[in-house]
Amino acid sequence: MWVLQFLPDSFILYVVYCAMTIGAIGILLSYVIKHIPFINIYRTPIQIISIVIFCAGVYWYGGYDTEMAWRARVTEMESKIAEAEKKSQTLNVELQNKVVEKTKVIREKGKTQIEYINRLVEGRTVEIVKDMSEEQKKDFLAKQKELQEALKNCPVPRIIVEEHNKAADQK
Amino acid sequence: MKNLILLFVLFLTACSTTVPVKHKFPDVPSALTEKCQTLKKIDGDQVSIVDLHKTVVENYTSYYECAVKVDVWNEWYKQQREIFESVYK
Repeated sequence: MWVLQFLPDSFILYVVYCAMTIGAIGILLSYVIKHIPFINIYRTPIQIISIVIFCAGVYWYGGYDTEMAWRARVTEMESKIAEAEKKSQTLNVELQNKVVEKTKVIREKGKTQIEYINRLVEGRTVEIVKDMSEEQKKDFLAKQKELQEALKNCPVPRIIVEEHNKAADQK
Repeated sequence: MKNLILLFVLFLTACSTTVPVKHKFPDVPSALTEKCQTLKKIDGDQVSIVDLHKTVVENYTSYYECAVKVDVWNEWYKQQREIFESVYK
């Protein structure tokens, strides 16, 4: 029956109706020729062949009906799948953009923090303190002084560096 | 003969045709397939607190980048599963 997939619907239906019609006509004819002399000797073969053709027609009609039901289901599934694939692609684009944007924000934040400390160390704080109140500025300058003093007097102990590196190690 | 016809018609059944409908597994966004960065270590004997701060901040950045990927992976799976299951409802 898989061959039916490659045939157009109208052709299949045409063949099915032809078989059923020929079979039905043959069966009727076999009853009519019963009364016609000479020809009535062919009555039995005509009747058998007609019944076979008619039955084949009915069988094919059933096959056609099932085929059409399957085709409808296939079309329905194909449209659902196409819609789902479209949604999947749209979602992928959204998520790709989300990862890219969030990663960008995270990197910018890291860079800003490192740059902020570098400015404090190098004394480039004009931009940082320009909008601060006097009290905030005083507090900020105290923190900057504390940092600069710590830089001069407090190197990070080697054990801290070693332990940090151990923690960062994947093994 | 009449009974034979009736028997034929009663037992007539149509064969079903199975047509494979392919549902492609969705691709993963390329950003999610990138590996997470390994954490950075501090180099040198004389390490200042600024170097320590820099390394720690860079490692936090790496962690958050990786965390975003994991979160989006989970979101991707959940939503793709919902889309996939909607086809067969």
